[in-house]
Amino acid sequence: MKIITLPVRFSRNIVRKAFLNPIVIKELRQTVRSQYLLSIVFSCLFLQLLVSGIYLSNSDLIIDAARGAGSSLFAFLFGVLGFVSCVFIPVYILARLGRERSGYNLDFLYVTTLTPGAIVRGKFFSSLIVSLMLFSLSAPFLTLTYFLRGISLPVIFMSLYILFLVNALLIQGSIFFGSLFAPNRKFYRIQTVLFALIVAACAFFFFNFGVRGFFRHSGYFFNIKTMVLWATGIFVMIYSFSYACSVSLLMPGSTNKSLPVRVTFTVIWIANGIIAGIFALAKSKSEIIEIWAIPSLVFLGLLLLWVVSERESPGPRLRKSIPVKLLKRLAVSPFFTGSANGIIWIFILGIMTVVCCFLFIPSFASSEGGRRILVFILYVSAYSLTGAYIRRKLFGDKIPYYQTWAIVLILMGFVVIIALVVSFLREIEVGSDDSQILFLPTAIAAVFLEYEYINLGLIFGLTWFAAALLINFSWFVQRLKDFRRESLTDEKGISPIPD
Amino acid sequence: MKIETRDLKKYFGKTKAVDGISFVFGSGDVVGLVGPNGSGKTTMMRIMATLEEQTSGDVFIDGVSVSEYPDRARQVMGFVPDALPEYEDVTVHEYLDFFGRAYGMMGKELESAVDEVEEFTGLKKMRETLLKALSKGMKQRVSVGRSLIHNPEFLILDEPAAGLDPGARVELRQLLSILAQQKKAIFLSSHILAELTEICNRFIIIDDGKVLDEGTLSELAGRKLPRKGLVIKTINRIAEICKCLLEMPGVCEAREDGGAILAEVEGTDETCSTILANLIGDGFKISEFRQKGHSLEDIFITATKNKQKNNQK
Repeated sequence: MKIITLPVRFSRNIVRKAFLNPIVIKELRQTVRSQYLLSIVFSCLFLQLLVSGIYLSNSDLIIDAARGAGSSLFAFLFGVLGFVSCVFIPVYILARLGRERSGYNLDFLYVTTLTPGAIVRGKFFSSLIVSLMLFSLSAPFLTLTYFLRGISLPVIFMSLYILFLVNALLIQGSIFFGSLFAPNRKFYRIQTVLFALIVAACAFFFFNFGVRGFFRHSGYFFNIKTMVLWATGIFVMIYSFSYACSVSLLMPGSTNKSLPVRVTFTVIWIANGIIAGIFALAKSKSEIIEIWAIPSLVFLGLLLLWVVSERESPGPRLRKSIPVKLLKRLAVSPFFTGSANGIIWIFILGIMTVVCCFLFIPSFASSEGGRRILVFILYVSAYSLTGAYIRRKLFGDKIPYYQTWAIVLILMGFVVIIALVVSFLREIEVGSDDSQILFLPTAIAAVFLEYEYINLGLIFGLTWFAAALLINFSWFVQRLKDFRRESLTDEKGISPIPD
Repeated sequence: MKIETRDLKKYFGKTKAVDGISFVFGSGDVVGLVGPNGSGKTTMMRIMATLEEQTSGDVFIDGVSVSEYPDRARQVMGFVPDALPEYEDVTVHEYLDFFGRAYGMMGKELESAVDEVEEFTGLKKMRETLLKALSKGMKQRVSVGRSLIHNPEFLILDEPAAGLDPGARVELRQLLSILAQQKKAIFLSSHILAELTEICNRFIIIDDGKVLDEGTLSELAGRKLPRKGLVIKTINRIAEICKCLLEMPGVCEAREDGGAILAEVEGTDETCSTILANLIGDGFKISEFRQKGHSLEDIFITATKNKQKNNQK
């Protein structure tokens, strides 16, 4: 009985969470009244109708149809639908979210029992419904191209499916982008325009240069099932990570903001690791593991910038949820907000990834890719830890913790400029072409060293990383000592918790 | 319901926005938070509303920590911030309906809650009007309505009368009076002290994140302004009465002000009746004799001046 009711309960839960979400209802009510969105939808339809009409009434093109003009018309209609759904809808979502975040409206949401996850899901599903509406309105035009020949139904459906996934990702991306920056009445306009320009440029290049060729050759070059499988897999991965990041950004500072990101990334990391392992075993090619390991290490390196920009230790509200027992505390510590906790989490995943590579790929240590990624991870870690140290020691009062990432980037840029200047002066003075040995080992650009010099980068990166660990050691130990459950109302009173 | 803040502190870097504030109040209390700009009123209210995290200390609602169980606190609390609702393309009814859903209400429960709030706040006729088309006063009603949608027992209102015209202020005051009669615990701040005097039965004066004094108006007046003010009107001989008053025990000051005599007396109501008896006994013709009540403004100014003096010392 339970087995029968389980899927019913599960689907009911999904429907309730997705579509009975108050945000979905509010957003859809707003959408119905939005002149912007209605004009976009009608413009898209009008354009498709116009193009189809012109195409069908043009006798030359009808002759063309015999040679397979369906793909050309489909590419154009697909481009129109893609441009509207991938540019205008995400921009509309971003503008609305930015406007809501720029005032006190988000406060209104936080005083209710609505969770940040529900807010993000609500925004996403309501936008998806608008997209679905647009897709279903365009479907008759797109399927019409099938009768003009030159394109098969599976290709049409697969293309629409992939476009829908891209559209969903862009909607989630716009929600993430809207959650990224601090609420500011003026800034959200700049943010929206910036996002619109980026997405519009990408869409223009994609639809202008990529789509036509793709539809002409897709039937020959791509296995549709594999394509759908890959697209779905990539969608699930990017969507869940972007969702977790958006939720994390919308969560109040007093909560465990990092938990969604760390849990999601860890799950993606494990799942991809297992899949890569299975493929490596099935195909007897251990190098397949690199496909998982290298992007994982690159992402971990980038996440380090986020992690060092977190508050130094959990706030008083969060401290109340820290387990009392030492073992439990140790186990959960990588998943708690806090710079030191985040560094532990990244080091655990990073070390495990590297160990997996060394264990399962015999040639990893000697391979070019392996060495370069090791150089990258060492340098990013060294720069991040040094940047965090510089902020604490030199700008503790002036620059807030959440801007540490900017110091790290400035430090990276500064070292590159110094190195370039020194090497340039040396080249003028001595006429020597040894600039690679001279400047690259100091800069993050060491990743791009010529292979014969890569060991130099490894040695320098390792030394700097060790030094960065050393200067941060006492801070690190202090943060770990501070990571304990604490009552807010003890008789002695609590010393102010560092930001 | 009992609301207690215990040694509440909030530091922004080196700035102490809230510096060890403690107080208790309960159902039926309408507590006014009085303080100059930047004294920490909004920060404290935001901490109580679970929107801001304190550095230390805590707020308890019926013994439940607001910081430990923010969701439970939000269920019994309504918050009206100092900003007005600004959602685009949303009608009053839809706005209230949305917040009802956000508090987990559905179906008939939601419908009746929205209806009741629209009825109570007088928004029934405007339920289909877009938010952006409303006046400030009406928006403030919507804001109060939103905070009442889940029928909370505790209401926090941050500068609810700011920017409202006199008519809208009167309407807001009437709404709050009805809520107070419903035995809700109300905690509000305002710069319009005369208004607070009419609504609140208790006051907390804060400055630089610290409580300077708290209590009812008479308790505060007793502590901050121990002298009683007397207004005496007479037909003639004003200068003589002033001179005579100054010779009486307990009278500290007597002066003419716009055809009346203003006197300051140290003592009880009995001292005042003795003064009246003496004046009549001395043959002065008194047409009016009354005690002048101390306003919250007087108390607030004295409290903040005293603090400044203490700081200078």
